Amino acid sequence: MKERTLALTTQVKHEEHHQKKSLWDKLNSPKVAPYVFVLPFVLIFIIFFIYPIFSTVVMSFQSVNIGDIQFVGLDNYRILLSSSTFPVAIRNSLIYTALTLLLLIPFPMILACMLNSKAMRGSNFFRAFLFLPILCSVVVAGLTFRFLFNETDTGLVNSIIINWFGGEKVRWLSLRWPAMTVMVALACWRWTGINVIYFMSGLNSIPVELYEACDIDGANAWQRFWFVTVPLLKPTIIYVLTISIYGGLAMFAESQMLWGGKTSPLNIGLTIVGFIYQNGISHGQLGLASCAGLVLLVVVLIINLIQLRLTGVLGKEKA
Amino acid sequence: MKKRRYLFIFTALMIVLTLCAGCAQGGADATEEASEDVVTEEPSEEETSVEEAETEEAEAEEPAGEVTELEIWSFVEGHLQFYEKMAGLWNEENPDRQIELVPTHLDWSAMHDKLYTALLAGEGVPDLSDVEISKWPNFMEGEIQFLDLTSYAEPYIDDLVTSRLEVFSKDGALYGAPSHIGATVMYYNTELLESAGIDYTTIETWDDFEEALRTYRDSTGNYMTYCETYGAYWFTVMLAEMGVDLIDEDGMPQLNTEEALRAVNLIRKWVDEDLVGFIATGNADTPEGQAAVANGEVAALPYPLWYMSRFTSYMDNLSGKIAIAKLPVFDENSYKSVGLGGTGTVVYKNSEHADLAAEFITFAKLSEVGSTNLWTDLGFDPINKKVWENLEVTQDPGNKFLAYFQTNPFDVLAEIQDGIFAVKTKQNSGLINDYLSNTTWNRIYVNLEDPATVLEETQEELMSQSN
Repeated sequence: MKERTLALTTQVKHEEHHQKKSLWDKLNSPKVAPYVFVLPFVLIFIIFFIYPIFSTVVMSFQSVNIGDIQFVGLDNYRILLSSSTFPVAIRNSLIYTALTLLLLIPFPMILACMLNSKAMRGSNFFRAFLFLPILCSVVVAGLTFRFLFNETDTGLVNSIIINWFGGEKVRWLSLRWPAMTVMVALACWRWTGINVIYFMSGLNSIPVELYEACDIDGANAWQRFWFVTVPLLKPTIIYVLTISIYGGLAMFAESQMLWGGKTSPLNIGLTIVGFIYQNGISHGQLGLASCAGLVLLVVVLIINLIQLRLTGVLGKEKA
Repeated sequence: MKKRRYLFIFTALMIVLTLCAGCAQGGADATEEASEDVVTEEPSEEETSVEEAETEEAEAEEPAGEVTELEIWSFVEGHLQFYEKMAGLWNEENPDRQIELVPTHLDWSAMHDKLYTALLAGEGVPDLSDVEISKWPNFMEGEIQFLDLTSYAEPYIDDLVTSRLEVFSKDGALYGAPSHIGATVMYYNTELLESAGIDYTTIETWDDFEEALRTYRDSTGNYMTYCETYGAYWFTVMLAEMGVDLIDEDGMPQLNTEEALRAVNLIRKWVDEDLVGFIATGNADTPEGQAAVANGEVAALPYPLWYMSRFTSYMDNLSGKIAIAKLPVFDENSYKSVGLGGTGTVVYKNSEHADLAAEFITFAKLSEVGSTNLWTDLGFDPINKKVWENLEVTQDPGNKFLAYFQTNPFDVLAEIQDGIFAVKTKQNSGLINDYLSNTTWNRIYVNLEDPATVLEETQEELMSQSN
């Protein structure tokens, strides 16, 4: 109804000013206006997304130095493929992503269901509590975790292991799996809250009638969760899955802060973006970094396309 | 109504939290800075020289003639304060060529990234900028955008430690004015050593040093020092003593040399015989590493003289217990020290005031008065040797660095000055240092793989990635 009135008003105005068609009128016409509204987004998209991707592709064939940019053909790709650190970076990123997906989807979902349940006491307090870490800057969080998992006897986690459990100190940031544990722990601490929020908004959109129907049919709590909640949360799960895959593969700041901006021993904390930063910024090899960036783009695209296909968002919908 | 009030409170809270996060981020940057070779503390009252008082007076007066504005970037606030002080002195001496500095302080990585991007674009480049040595090679690639300072350094050249100028030179042209020599020395915790019955002054060679490691381990049960698994100070020091660098003339890695193997084997022997321990982060210049030194886990460490500021800033408890001494050597033919770390100040060659900027910066960093202030304000071992001979400066009882250490760094400098090896820093230096830190040392000292094989593989890998 409103739109109709608006269209009518525009039309009336048009007729009034028929003779002198100013620029304003042209912009305001129903044919042009949508394009005007979309323009800022399109411009931003072209300037900040299309152009950088294009120039990254070009730079991946170049050796980039100040005042001296040369085409070097496939040299950068050759260096990238022969590098022993790049596979390590990819492996770390994939393991990290897989672990965060395993932890950051089921648990926030269960937490959201618990918080949404009427039987839950202090639900508002826990909502706020879970959401707090996301307000903390990743730099602060990374530094805090670095000192919590300090390798000395006096680091908080080590002192708990030693004093409470009588264990031996763990060299958290020097060994592969302990280091991965710290990175995943940091991710869980940071992202659980935001995922809970996503799932809770998804839960709120599930009609209460369905649960009532379940109750009438005599379903127990688990059956209600598995046959009603999970299928109806599917769009939310797919969304969280997509952003988590991207977030996992693009992780950088956390590992950068944990090792204080330095490289990690035997590259146990090196991620793909870390590799790009190290080569592009620290070693001034922007061409090589561009190659690695393109590889990241392709990896993320493929994984997400497979995932979206499997979950039925793209292509034929299953069932 | 109630809802609206909650919304207001929430928004206010968000703003406060965002601000807090911003501040906290600043705090983190500060930590990063602390790991650079600098002191950011204000000079203590005793150090405030007469010159400074004069400067303030001069600044108070309206300068005659036109004042040229010079934009200057640094990643250390203390450096900028130093430059401003020197600009005051410059204006006093050059009433007809007055300058006014427009300082910009950025965090270490942000500053270098911005400078690099600005130079790539050819726009927004400051007249003067600090460039830290590990980032230096990136700027020496392609067409060099900095002004050749050779002729500007000419008036001071006879008093300077020229080997240090080479670090910031390329093909015989000087592109950066260095802040210090960064001469590497040995820091000994004499209290700990005496408890083990060790007299550090008797340590002349690495054999003596090894003997001390053994004595210390036997008598105290602790380790006298640590095995460096991040960074390459120990390794570079040993190589430099043998007159060898990590890279060859063309900047390509050379890690499969006899000397490299000798150095690595020596440290590996200490690891195998359980004479050295491991400290958190494997490096003595991280917050964790500094804590290890402060806690007495490390009783001897080789570091450049700029590490003095780490003691005065973070290790109050060790005041009066640390002696600065020359490094142990392999034999009498060895070099006695090596200059490591550092910051060069550059002049943008296309700057409108490049000439004036170059004259100013060479005056500020290379002249005797400039070098004196670099020592008193920032604790740098000055590149101008005249300062070393100035007893008023080198014996000043009010100086916080001289008060902290048992021995006078200038005495050590005088002892080693004719044997300071200059390492090259070229395009692949960062790559090599990173690879040694994250892979090579861990394989040799932690995983205990064969040193010769690992060095050979390191060389191969680095050659394939170098350019």
